[in-house]
Amino acid sequence: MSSTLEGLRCGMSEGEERSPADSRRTESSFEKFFLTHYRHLFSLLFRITGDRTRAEELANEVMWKAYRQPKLTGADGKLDGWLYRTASNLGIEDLRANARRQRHQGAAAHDSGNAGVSSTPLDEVLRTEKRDRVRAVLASLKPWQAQILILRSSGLSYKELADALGFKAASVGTMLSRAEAQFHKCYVQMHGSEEWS
Amino acid sequence: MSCLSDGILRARFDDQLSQPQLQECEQHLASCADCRRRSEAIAHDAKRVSVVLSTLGPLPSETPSDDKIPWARFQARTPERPSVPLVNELLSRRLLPAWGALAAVCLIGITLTFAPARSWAQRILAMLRVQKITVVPMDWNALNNPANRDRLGKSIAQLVSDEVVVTIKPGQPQVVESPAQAEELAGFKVRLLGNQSEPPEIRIVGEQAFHGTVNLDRVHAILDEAGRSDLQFPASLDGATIAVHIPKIVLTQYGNCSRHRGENKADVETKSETGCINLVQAPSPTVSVPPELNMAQIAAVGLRLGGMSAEAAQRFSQTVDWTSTLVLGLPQGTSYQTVDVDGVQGTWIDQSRRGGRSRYSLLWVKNGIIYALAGSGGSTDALTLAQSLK
Repeated sequence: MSSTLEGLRCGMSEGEERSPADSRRTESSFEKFFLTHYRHLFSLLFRITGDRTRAEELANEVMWKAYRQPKLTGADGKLDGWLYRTASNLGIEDLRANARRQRHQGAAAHDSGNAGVSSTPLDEVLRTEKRDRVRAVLASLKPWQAQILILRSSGLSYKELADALGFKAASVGTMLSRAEAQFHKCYVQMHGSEEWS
Repeated sequence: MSCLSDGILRARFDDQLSQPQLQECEQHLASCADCRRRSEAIAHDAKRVSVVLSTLGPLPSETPSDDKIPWARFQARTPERPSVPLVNELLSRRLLPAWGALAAVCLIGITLTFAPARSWAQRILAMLRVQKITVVPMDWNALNNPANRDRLGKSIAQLVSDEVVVTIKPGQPQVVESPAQAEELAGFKVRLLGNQSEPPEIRIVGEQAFHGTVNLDRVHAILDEAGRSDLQFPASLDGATIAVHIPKIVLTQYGNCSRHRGENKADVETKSETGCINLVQAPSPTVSVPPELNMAQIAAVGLRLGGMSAEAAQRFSQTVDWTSTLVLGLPQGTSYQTVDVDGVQGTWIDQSRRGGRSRYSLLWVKNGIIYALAGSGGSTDALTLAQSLK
């Protein structure tokens, strides 16, 4: 999953935006970068939002931010941390805003992202309800707790988690454990202990 | 050695400890019952959380089938036009697909370049998707003048070939053996008509994607050719990048649909297609344009091109949500009505030819899928069939 921006923004100073000439010069590098990361970003954002269209929009937004910013490399020269931190920030922000909106409207969570799944209608209903319950719990957590759970669930290693969330690598296990305990507690509070077993 | 922290135990569960850390950890666990108990509890919680969170992962049918499509959309954000301030919002919610206006413009081209016998369903699926459909009578006669139709058709075709980049070609429709196979290939729930004596022929039309940049000079040159030099699209349209993605479409045919089953057209013209029913199911395509475009303004020009007065076009364009509405321009005199179908509002269109049998098209949008049902009979026949959908 690791990648660098080598060749992507060479010759650009801090604060400088990409010019058309720069864009042309680096288009092919960025395409490679885009195709390497897009699917994983989409998957991460789909987990958070549950909405395919929204996940695609946010993934595109993250890529656009990556494209426009001249200096994105982390301490070790890798972009992954920035990329997944930005994506999970956007996703969690969207999730929490959505949860607030639904509470305000008094409406049940609706998962349009499930359209198109080949299964029985009952399967789809059950899957949608389950996903909505999980997302409601995530929306109730502190942002870093939701982020670490989603990112870990998306397959990031502890090192990548540390880079994305700004933790020390040695602290990731502790943070993850706390987030899981809080997730468990909130899940039981919101949906009962039967759901958890 | 003091007892192990939750963090160490959690990292051990994920196999994220270094070899020396792991050895130390295992040695301690071998001699500490309390840590073993905590380790088991942490592992249990971690497994359970992992299982619960795994339900959020996208299924294959929920994942983009080809990363080149989002890349094409990304490119459509016109990175080489940094002067556009909101260009980074191109595909955001603020930039909702502008179906209606595009439809109004596309209708012109389609009317000029397609054979008139093509069905409404085919026309719609060639160009748009919407959350709802509305219709408006238009007078295409001026544009359909045989004297200039061919020339205009060629101009439009040339414009398209010069400016449009096709990133995904649909290929030939694929005949499938069963509804289950159709669902697997199309990636959405395929519905079938009930009470049919024979199984349908099901075909899948492949995914399509293309994008292009509007060359306003050429568009206006075409308007001149069409005798409508009085119409001017807004300058903001010039250089706008439009990206279109059309997902896979499922075509289902019942009964005597000989034209589509390989017989030659001349034979078919003399045959009855009374028993032929076409059902088209298509997830909404995605059409994206820059956010600064005033779609109502553009749509008003399209409507005027379709014969509407400037005042009427202006008034009508203000009443339509162009971000989600397909405005279907019907030839003047065409009979149509709004009907309740499949739990939503749809549009029934009378497509009977003079002296011929009654034929109809019934269009509606539900759960993001556009349905187009075409067959013989009146609105009651159409609604009865639609009601049998499973």
